[in-house]
Amino acid sequence: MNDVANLMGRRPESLNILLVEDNLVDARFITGLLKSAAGEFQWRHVVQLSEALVLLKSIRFDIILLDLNLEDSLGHETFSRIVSAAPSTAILVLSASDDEELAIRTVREGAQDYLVKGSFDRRLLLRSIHYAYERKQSEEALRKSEATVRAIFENSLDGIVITENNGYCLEANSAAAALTGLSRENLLGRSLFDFLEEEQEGEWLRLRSAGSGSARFWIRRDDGVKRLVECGFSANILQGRHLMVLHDITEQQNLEERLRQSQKMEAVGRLAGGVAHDFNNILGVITVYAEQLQLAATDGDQQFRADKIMSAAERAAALTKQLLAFGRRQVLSPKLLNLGMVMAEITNMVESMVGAEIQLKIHVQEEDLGVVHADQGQLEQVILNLAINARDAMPMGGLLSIKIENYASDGNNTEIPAGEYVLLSVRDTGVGMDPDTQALIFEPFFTTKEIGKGTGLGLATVYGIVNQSNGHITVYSEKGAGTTFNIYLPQVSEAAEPAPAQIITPRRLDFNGTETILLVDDEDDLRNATAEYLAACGYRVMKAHDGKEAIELADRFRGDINLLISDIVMPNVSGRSLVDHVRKTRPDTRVLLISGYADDAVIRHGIFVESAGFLQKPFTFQLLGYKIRTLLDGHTQ
Amino acid sequence: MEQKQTAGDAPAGAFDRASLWDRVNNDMELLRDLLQIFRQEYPGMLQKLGAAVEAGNGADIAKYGHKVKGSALQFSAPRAAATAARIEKMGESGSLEGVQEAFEQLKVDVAELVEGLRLMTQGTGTTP
Repeated sequence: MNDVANLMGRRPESLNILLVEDNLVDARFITGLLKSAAGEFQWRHVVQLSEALVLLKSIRFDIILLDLNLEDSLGHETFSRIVSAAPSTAILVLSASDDEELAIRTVREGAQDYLVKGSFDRRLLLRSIHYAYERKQSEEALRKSEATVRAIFENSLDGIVITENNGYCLEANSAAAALTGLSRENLLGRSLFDFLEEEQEGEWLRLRSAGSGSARFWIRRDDGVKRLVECGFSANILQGRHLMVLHDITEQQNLEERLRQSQKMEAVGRLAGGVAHDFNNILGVITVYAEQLQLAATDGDQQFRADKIMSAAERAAALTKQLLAFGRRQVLSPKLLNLGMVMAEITNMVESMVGAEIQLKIHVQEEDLGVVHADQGQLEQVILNLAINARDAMPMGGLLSIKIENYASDGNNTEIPAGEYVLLSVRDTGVGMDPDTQALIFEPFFTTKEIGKGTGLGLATVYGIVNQSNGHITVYSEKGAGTTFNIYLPQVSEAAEPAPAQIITPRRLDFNGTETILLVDDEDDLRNATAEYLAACGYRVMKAHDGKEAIELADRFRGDINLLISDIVMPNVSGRSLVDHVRKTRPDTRVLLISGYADDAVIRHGIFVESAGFLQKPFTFQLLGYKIRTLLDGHTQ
Repeated sequence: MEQKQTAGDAPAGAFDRASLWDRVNNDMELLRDLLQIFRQEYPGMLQKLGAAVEAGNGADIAKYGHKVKGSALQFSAPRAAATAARIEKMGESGSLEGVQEAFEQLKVDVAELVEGLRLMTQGTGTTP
């Protein structure tokens, strides 16, 4: 009962006393005085130390009244053994010896009081007992409080440092030592300025003069590692003693930074994709009219000018294609691939591209290299873009290493989620990049190259392709110490498919026909030019500027519609609804979708078409004619 | 100087009656209990002390001298306490010259204390 009261910090109803006294007169005298206190005390009396020690093992007393000279123990020895057996119980020494030295010694070692027999009466005895109890309770409370504070200090996951006025460390816990990379002993006496970057000293002084608050600091450890800490500061928690609580937020900061970066790239990607889409529509118009000019050219000059327009449009189309890749809106033909075989196919190209000044080392894991599911053309583009960047980073020559091997990540201590990957590593010994540059390299139109030499789309494209392939990309670089790009593509289990023979579009102009085509596009110029071309080829063309008009036309028309050519993203009725309607009402009608967005838009609009049934803007009439004939002739067959 | 001795008084100087009465908190029952216990205990204590004196055993002389001193102090009996303390010190120091005489004196002091206490506690009243 008293234990609970003690734990709660309350005074028990009656104090539980152990009287250790072998003189029966003395014992009776004391118990007589205790008895007079009307229920304030309960007591047990023993005459030997050994009996007392046995009792103390099972009972917690509030007070021990102790005669030092017993039958089985004498003087200080008696006291020592009782203190050891009951360290948290108040002890009141009763002695017939008015021995000052012994009295001081026992009090110093924990006795609450030392009473000489014959020198105290009831009032003094009871007061001594109460004081002894209260003092011991206070001592215990203080001891427990100190122990609690010490335990918090020692076990805190945050670093806790107490400094004096000049910032020198007076106390530090293990977490603080770990943050600074020092032992606690070595941290004591060090100034915290030693760990701060110079430019952060102003921030620290501001915090110091404010008296309390928090700020973020980069701590540079002796071993060079930098950690970002949130530092809570309270000045003068004791006179001239200042508290700093250091919370390591490096990982949190990294995660936030990656999230921000990812969100930014996503936003930029959407923007880039959207711009590319609009560009493709415009380029589509330019291309078809340029092609008409080419076809209608009556002399060399006209032909030359038309060719120039066409060639400029093609270059612009190549640029928008890269933007689409970055915005993950490029048409994908993913298949199972052996990255080593992809590398082998473009090794000659890479060699000729990097030039003789640069030594090229290619290492491909020969046995059991994992298979990835990706678009071959895109992966080739990734390797080529990285190789071009590496070449440009080594104007005076150097070593370009390309390594392809399996990689297993356990997900710990890495940005790469757990899993089996094929790792494509491209390393150069070039100029390298500082952290600020590294933070920007995947952004579209960011380039370190001279004006006119780089589009700023190379690495953005790589980033888009890797993301689109569910892979991960990391970069390690230091100024003057080269750069390594690591690309992790997830392995898949099946064997690689053999690469199909490349489809070659025959270069011919006579894609004439007589079938009926329903042409739907909200871009008036493109629709009209295309319709003009198709009509010139002999087709019967019905034009609609959106899905709604197309459905009305199709429903009204009594004859066959052999082919529907439709844009996907349109106002009112979308391409998807139109295709659904036509497939339902005219199952024999073939479908050719055109879009400036391409694959991603197709997926988002939920339309399934065979690969031959899609054409990305901008397109040439040749390609359109070829597609039309492929679809219609295949249907006829 | 002639000491006056009356019924209910201890032999003069054997103990401080007022102090004792105060120390036992004016509790006659307690005082009678203490006297009864002392009467039972002190012959044994004196016997052990006498044997130690006889044997010249310094440690036992100190030990039993100390015990008698404690009881004498509780009874506010300075003379017996002083004699017992002298014997205790002799035992502690091992210098036993005069210890026999001191022991004889102690027996007288204790006898006077007991007689004084008997007189103080006689009757059935709750006050001396």
